[in-house]
Amino acid sequence: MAHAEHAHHITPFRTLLGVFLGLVFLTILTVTTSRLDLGVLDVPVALAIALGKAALVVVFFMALKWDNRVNGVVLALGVLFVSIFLVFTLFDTAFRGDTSNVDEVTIKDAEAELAAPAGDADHGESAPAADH
Amino acid sequence: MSVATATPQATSGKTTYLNHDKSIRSWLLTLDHKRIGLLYLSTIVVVFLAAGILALLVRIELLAPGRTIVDAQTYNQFFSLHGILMVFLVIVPSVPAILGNFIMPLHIGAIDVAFPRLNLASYYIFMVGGVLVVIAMVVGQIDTGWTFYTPYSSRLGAPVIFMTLAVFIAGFSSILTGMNFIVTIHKMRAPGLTWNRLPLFVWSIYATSIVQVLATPVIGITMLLLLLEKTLGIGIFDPAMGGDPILFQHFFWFYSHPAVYIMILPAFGIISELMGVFSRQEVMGYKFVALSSVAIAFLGFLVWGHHMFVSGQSTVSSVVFSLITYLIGIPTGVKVINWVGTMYKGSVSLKTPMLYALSFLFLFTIGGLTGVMLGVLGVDVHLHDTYFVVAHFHYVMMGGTIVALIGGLYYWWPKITGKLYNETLGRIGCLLVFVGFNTTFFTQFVLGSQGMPRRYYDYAEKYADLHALSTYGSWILAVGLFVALYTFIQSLMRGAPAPANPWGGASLEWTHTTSPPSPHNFEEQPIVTHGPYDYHHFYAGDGQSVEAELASRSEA
Repeated sequence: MAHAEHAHHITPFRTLLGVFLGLVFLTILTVTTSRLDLGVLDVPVALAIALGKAALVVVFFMALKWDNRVNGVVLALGVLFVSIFLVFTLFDTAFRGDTSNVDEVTIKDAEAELAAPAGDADHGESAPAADH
Repeated sequence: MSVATATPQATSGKTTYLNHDKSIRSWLLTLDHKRIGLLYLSTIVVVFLAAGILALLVRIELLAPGRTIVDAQTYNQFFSLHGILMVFLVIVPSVPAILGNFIMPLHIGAIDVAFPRLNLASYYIFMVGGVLVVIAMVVGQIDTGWTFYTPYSSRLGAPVIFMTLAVFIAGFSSILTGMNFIVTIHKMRAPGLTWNRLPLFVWSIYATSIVQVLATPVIGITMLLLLLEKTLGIGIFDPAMGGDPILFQHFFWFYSHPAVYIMILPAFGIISELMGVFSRQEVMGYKFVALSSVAIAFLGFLVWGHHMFVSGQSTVSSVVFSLITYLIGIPTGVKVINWVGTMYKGSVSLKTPMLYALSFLFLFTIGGLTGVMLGVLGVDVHLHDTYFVVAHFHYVMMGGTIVALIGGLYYWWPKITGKLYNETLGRIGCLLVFVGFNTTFFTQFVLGSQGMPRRYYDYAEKYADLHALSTYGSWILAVGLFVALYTFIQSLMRGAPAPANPWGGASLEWTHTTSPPSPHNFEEQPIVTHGPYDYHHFYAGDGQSVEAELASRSEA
C-alpha cells in the first residue's frame, strides 16, 4: 500500500483565505436577507446560503476535494437520503389541509346521513383522519 | 494453485475455532467472527423464546371472547413486548448478526471481518440494548405496541424512556455491524472473487448493510426526540405541547419501513444459496437477483408513507407513496421468478434446508402479494389496523425471515458445529412449522377481511371460531419450532461428524474450509476461479444423481 496514497493534502494559503472570505460574505448575506421579507422564499433562501457555507467547509476545509472519491459518494448519499426524507415529508405537511377533493366525492349513504337531523356536522371534514 | 477440489476433510484431532481455546473468557472476549456469530445466536435464541412465549400467551388470551387468562392491561403489555423483542432484538439483527457474521467472511475468503474489535463491541452494545429492555419491563408497563406512536407514548413515564433508549442503543449496534460488513466486502475479498462472483448471500448482506447505515440513525434521532419531549417538555410530537403526532410517524416509518428490508433482504440471500445448492443449478439470472437486492434497498426508502394512509397525512402524499409502493413488487417478483426458474429442470433435493426454502417461497409470496394489496389506497382504508395487516406482516417476517433463518441454520449447521443433524426430525419440524404457521396466520387474513381490528383484547362472537383456530395453529407452530430446537440440540449431543462439504456446495466455505473451520478460516489463501454456483466445475461428468452424490458424501 503506497504511503503517498494516504498523504495529507496541504491546502494553499490563498485557497483557505478565499474560502474564509467566501464564508464571511455568505454570513453577511445571511444577516442581510434575514432582515428582508422574502415571503415564501424566506426559508429556502436561508437554507440555500447555509448549504453553500456547509459545502465550502466540507469541500475545502475538510479537504473532501482531494480525498478519496468514495468519501464524496458517501456524503452525497447521506445528503440524498436526508433530502428524500424532507421532500417526501413535505408532500404531507405542505398539503395537509387539502381535503377539498374529499368534499367533492359523492357517497350516497354519507349524503343521506348528513341530511338526517342527528347527523354529525363535522363528520365530512374529518373523514380522512377518522381512524386516529 | 488452491483451486477447490471439494474433497471432504477429516476434522478429528484438528484445531478448530471451537476447540482451540475453551475458556469462558476466550468466548466472551473473542474477536473471531465465527464465535461472535455464535454469541449472537445464543442471545437471539433466548430472546426469541421469550418473545415466542409472549405470542403464545397472546393467542391463548384470544382463544375465546372475554377474559381467558389475563386482564386487558396485561394483554396490551404482552403484545407490545412481543413486538418490541421480536422486531428490534430478534428479526432485525438475526440473519446479519448470526449468519452474516459467521458465513460472510468465509464466503469471501477472508480471515475475519475488517474490524474484529468493532464487531465484538457491536455485540456488547446490542447486549446493553437488551438489558435496557429488561429494565423497562421491570420498571413499568409498556403497552404502546412496537411502534411507540405518539402522543400516547410520550405521555408514559420511565418505562418508555428505557425502552426507547434500548432501541436507540441497539440501533448503534446495527450501524456498526453494517459499516463493518461494507468495508469487509469491499476490501477483503479473496483474489479472483470479483463482484460478479460474489455469492448472492453476500450481495444481500451488502445491500442490507447499506440500509442499516443509512436508515438506522433516523430511529436513533426519533427516539432521542421522543426522549427530549418527555424529559424537557419540548413540543415535537405531542399536540398538547404544539407538536405534530403525524411527524412522529414520518420519522418512525422512514426507519422502520427500510428496516423491513433489513429484516428480509438477508433472508433472500439465504434462499438464493439454498435454491442453487439443492437444485444443483446455477442460480437463474444471477445479476438480476443481485441487483434486485440493491433496487429493493433503494426503493425501500421511498415508500414509508404507505403505513400512514389513514393517519391524516395529505392525499397528495398518500397517492405518491401508493404509486411507489407498487414498484417494490418488481424487484421482489424478479427474485421469486428466478428462484422458481433455478429449480426448473434442476436436480432438486428435498433436504430439510430446501424444505424451508420452499416454505419460504410459498409463505413470502403470499406475504408479498398481500403487501401490494395493502398498498392500494382504497383497499387499505378498509384493511388498515385489522388482522389482515397482522397476517401480512407475519407472513413476511415469520414466514419469510424466520423460516429462511431456520433453513439457513440447517444448511450451515454442519459447517458451524461440525455435526450432522437428524434429517427425519428436521423434516418433521419443517412440516409442523409450515402447517402451524398457515393455520395461525391465514386464518387472520380472513379475520381481518371480515373487520376484526388488531390489538383488541375482546371481540364479537362471530370471530370466535377463527380466533380459536388461529390459537390452535400457534400451538402446532410452537411444537414445530421446539422440534427444530430439539434437532439442533440432539445434533450437538449425538450428531455424526460432518464432512467438509456435505451438500456439495461450490462456494468457499464448503470447498476450502473444514467443518468446523479452523480459527483462521483457511489453511491457505483461496484463489477464486469460478462462480459460487458453478457446480459443474466440481461435479460434472461423474454421472451421479445429486441424491446419490450426497449419500456418498454422508458415508464418506
